[in-house]
Amino acid sequence: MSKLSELAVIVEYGKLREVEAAVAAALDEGNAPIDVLNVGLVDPINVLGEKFRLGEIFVPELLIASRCMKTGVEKVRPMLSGGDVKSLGRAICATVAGDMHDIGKNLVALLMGSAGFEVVDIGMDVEPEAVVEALRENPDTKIIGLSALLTTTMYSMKDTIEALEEAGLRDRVKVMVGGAPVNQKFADQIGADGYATNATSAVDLAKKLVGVSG
Amino acid sequence: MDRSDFNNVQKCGSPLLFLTREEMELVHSGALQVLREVGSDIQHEGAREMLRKVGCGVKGKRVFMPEGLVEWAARQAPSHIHVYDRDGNIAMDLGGRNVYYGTGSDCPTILDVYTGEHRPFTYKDMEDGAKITDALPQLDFLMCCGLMYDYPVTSYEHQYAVMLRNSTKPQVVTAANRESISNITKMAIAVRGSLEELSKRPLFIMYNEPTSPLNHTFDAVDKLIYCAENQLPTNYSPCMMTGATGPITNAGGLIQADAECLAGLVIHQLARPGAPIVFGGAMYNMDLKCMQPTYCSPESIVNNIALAQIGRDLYHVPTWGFTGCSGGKVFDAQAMNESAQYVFAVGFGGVNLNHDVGFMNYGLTFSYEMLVAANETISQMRRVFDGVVFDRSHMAIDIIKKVGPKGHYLSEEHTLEYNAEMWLPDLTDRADLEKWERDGRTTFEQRVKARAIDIIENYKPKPLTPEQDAAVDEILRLADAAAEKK
Ligand code: B12
Repeated sequence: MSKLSELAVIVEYGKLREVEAAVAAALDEGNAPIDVLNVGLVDPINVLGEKFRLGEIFVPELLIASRCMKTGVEKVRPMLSGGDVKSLGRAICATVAGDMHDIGKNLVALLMGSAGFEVVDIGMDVEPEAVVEALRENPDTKIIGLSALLTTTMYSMKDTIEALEEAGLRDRVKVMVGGAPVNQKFADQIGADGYATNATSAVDLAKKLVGVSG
Repeated sequence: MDRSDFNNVQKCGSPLLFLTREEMELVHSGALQVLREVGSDIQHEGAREMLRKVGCGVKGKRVFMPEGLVEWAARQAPSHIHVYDRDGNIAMDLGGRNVYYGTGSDCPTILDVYTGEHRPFTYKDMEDGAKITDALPQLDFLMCCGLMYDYPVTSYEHQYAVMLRNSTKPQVVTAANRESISNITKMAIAVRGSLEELSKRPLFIMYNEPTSPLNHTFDAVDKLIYCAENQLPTNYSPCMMTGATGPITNAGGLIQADAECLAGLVIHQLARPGAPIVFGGAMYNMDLKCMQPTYCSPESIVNNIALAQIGRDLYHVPTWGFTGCSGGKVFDAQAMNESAQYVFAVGFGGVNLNHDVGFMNYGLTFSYEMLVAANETISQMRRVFDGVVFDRSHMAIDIIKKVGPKGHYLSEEHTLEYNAEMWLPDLTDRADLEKWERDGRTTFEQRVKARAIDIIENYKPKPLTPEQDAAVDEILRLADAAAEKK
């Protein structure tokens, strides 16, 4: 097996401790850094992402492999030129004010990250003003993902969207919403751009909203 | 059939114990190590100050509790909590191995009994849930079943009013914060007459929880302190999804959960030493494909009962459990199987206050059919827990001698007398094939559904007095007005 394929296997199997050496070996073998990135690091994640969608693997398999990918990317990054590391764009994820449920939001953020978004996770119980603030700090943000798990906090999503409007920033970003009590009807009512029921479909939705096909 | 007098105290000769004494000590010692070394995030300044004063290390929001303080707190909490119904009669003696069952709370959706669809939970559903729980003799307490979409801000207050009006059974209540739990307390006072009376004969236990891993939110801590100060019972139950918010192994989950429960216990006992608290909680693994909490997985059942064992046998406090729930989406054989397993397990495990009967879809959907069916399961299980009675008459040696070889027992008075002790089916079918066909060839599911509908349409709960009713209305009016202002 070539060192490049070996790297892809190491990433796919989530062997964190072996990634750096495998990246070095693949480069030593004479592979271009861009191939190491795409074939050795990114492709295996795409394969796993698809397997996860089909229910063939468990989420930690995907997430640990993503950690491998990130470690590998850091190693090759100095050898790449600016445009080589493709990003689907910046995203902000938050659980809205009053709500302490963050696992669903974390999963959405993690899967978006492994799909190629640059995710800024601003935590849970996030006030509308703090979302606006985060957007000001990250003006290149394309999409905001809001999560709520309570019938009593889902209206904070509405407040957040209104705060974006008041700040004059609403048109600059897409807003998608999710969480157990939320549904499409509610998403439409509060003027969100999209709703998804789970993390995998959240990634698809995000891609659609920023205009890249899944 | 009401056979609730049969037991509540189970008499199994060798009850279910998952842990040895040494293993309980391992969990306890692991938890102490976590509390002292890793610490807990306490998002409540008043509580941090209280903890600092008694010798805890405090760094920002992180609090490090010394072993001695934790063990002091465990010794302060009472071993029994007596809970009374709306009429003031004793309803539950939480402690030891006494086993009680009740509904779950706060589901966003309901499995509609009439149409079979999953739809948002409403005010009317809450009324139905309270009536059904009141009518079912094996359910000992009620929680709110669902969170009503009709009242996004004051739903906890309105839910409590509905429970109070439609059932005399004691409640376990959920509340958003100090304000909503104090509104609920006011309504309970409207029934009992005074706060003093209410703490002497509690009508509700407040439900409360830490945020795994090792985080304690402002509202959770504030509610703990509120209950302690007012001598009103509360629990403090982790809802840990092992693999996501706790270690995936049973032993690891138990250690972290013990640490979370103990951190709550320390704050609670510092606020008022000796105040009543229920110990224990869930460590249900997250299904790492569908990414939902499993609630009733085999691992959850073991963890729940093991943590309760530690509460009962190591700390000598009343215990909290899960039961009667399912990950299924409709009331089917899976739902029945999962629900019945859990009913039996916590009973056999001697866990005191077991909630979540009626939960489906991992806590997202409530089913009244599940509730009605579980009543039948609990009734059977309680008979099982009666075990074997040994007295002269039950041992029946005289009758064995009298009947002798080749005789029969059908015409003996002893048979008739003790037949009254046999468990009698209510919705369970035991007819012969011919009678079953004559009676309409119904399935258990159909009989359960018919019973649920019958209760919804015909059951008349005992009302509050007009004065109590008016007082509750006034409390709701003020709560709504306060919410409106915000
Ligand atoms: C774990 C849990 C907790 C933990 C949370 C810990 C943490 N770090 O997150 C703790 C113990 C703290 C907790 C607290 C409470 N909880 Co809670 N909790 C749950 C539980 C069991 C699981 C939630 C979860 O993490 N699921 C797993 C994740 C992966 O799923 P998810 O969040 O739904 O996310 C997925 C999708 O929804 C979607 N998604 C999520 N976010 C987003 C965002 C976007 C943009 C998109 C596109 C998609 C998307 O993708 C995700 C991945 O597939 C649920 C029951 C349930 N099955 O949902 C109750 C539940 C949500 N809780 C409930 C309640 C009532 C509470 C409390 C109010 C209880 C109380 N009285 O104290 C408190 C509230 C505290 C607060 N202010 O927030 C109710 C909600 C009822 C309602 N109708 O609103 C539920 C339904 C349980 C119940 N029946 O009682 N809870």
